Amino acid sequence: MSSSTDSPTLTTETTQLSPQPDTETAKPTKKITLKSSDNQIFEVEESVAMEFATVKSFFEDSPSTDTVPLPNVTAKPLSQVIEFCKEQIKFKANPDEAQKKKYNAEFVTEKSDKDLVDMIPVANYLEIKDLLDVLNQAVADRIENKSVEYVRSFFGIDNDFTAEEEAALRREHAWAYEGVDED
Amino acid sequence: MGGRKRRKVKLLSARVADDKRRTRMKKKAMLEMQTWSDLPLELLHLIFIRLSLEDNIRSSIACKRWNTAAISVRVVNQSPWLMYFPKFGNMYELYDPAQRKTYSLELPELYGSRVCYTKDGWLLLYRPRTNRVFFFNPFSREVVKLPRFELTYQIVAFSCAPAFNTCVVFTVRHISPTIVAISTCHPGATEWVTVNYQNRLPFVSSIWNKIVCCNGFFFCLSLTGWLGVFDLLDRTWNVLSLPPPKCPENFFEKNWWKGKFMLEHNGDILVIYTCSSECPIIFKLHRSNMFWQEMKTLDGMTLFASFLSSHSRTDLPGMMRNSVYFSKVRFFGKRCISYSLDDCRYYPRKQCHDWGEQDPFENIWIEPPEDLSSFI
Repeated sequence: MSSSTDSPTLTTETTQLSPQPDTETAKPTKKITLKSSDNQIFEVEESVAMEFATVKSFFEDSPSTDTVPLPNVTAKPLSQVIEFCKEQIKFKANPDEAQKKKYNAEFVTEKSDKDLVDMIPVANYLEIKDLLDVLNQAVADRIENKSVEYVRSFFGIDNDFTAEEEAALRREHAWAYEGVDED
Repeated sequence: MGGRKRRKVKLLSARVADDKRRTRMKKKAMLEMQTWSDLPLELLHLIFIRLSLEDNIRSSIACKRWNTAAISVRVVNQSPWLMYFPKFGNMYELYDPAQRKTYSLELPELYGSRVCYTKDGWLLLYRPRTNRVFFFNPFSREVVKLPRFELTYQIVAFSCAPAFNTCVVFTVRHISPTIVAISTCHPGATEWVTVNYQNRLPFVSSIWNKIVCCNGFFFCLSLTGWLGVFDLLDRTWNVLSLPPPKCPENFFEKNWWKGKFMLEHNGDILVIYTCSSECPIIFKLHRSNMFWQEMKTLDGMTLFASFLSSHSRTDLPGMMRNSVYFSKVRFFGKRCISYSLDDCRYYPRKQCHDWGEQDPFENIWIEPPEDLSSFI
């Protein structure tokens, strides 16, 4: 700090070594375009896109492309997944397990049942393991001690058992259907 | 069924509409397919492995696909079996309370011995005539001998199966109310090691004492409910200044101290106090705050209480949950005497339950073989 004579020379050297464009334009502006199945365009930083294993391998196969079509992913869950990954990158730069845990917990608590359920196939398709773990646990927590009917409506499942089949299955483990939470 | 039909009807009606609408409908159906009904089973497994047994069972009847996924990751544990030691002869009966079946085994290896303890499918036995102490696995028929040692009517326990190098056999006997002799041994040792320890609090050994090994400590419950702890690592002995579990007055009047059991569950020490046909009381040791807390529920766990060793199980079939199974079978092998914490009653009712006065060496709960096919 006190050596005022040294520092100016140092700064000039660094600016000479790494000129402005490299730090300010090239790195941060490297953006990747993701296109959802409902034709929405998402421009995300490369580092975020590389969190998606599927997108990463897509780029490895065809590096010249600038738009990645995601035919299995709609805009809403995609935007939420991007939001999650942006945060995870911050934690990668500054590891803070407690903060990360807190963020992950908040991320799922503020989501609706539908949002969670819609994000799971997306996280699976894009191969984002951390997010998949967080979502699966959140979903498991939300259906804890709930009735069969609740589980069906939670995931939007069509019951393909006949009434007789279902009754037989219920008889087999009658104890498991007692004392469930009110829906 | 209904849902799939409905979707078909929708698609049919779309056919009559204009082309544009038809493709839109198709696309929408495609998207629906890509969400839940079409997900790979592996992805459902990832959710199901996080569910309890009850949640797994309920989710399994959501639809056929979920049924397949849920059943493939469902964990239902096996109940211990009750092994009977005959007064004469070599025929040993084993009773499976979940299947309500009895099996017989001829085990001449056990001639002239009495059972001391069981854990992880292994028995510890003592042959008084020769002072031989040995391990025996009744299903694999393996024998692991220990050095000879004279055991009086004292309680012996071991930490884990003899194949592990952490296996230690432990027994405690009082010399005076404030001095105990602790003897330990391990497979492969040439002799038993006996060390005398001074207690600050009185500790008396008897056949009614209970021993459990948990996380490197042997816990030893005395007849009057005091707890001695032996640290395997430091080889120290300490009688905890922890008042015995508080039972109602009538337990005290009726010889309550004999009919009790101790076991370990996930690092917790539990004791069960029984008294005639009164409801048994279960206490959990709070080691940080040093007190016995009464448990009103077992959260679906099942306890198996026998005189020499007791065990806990989670994820057992429904009717066995939240219950204590005692080592007595009634109605010609149709059911064990059990106590349900949900219903606060014994099954069957009106039986005399003097668990303290039963023959200690008559029977014991033992872990059955994992692969039953090789055994039956």
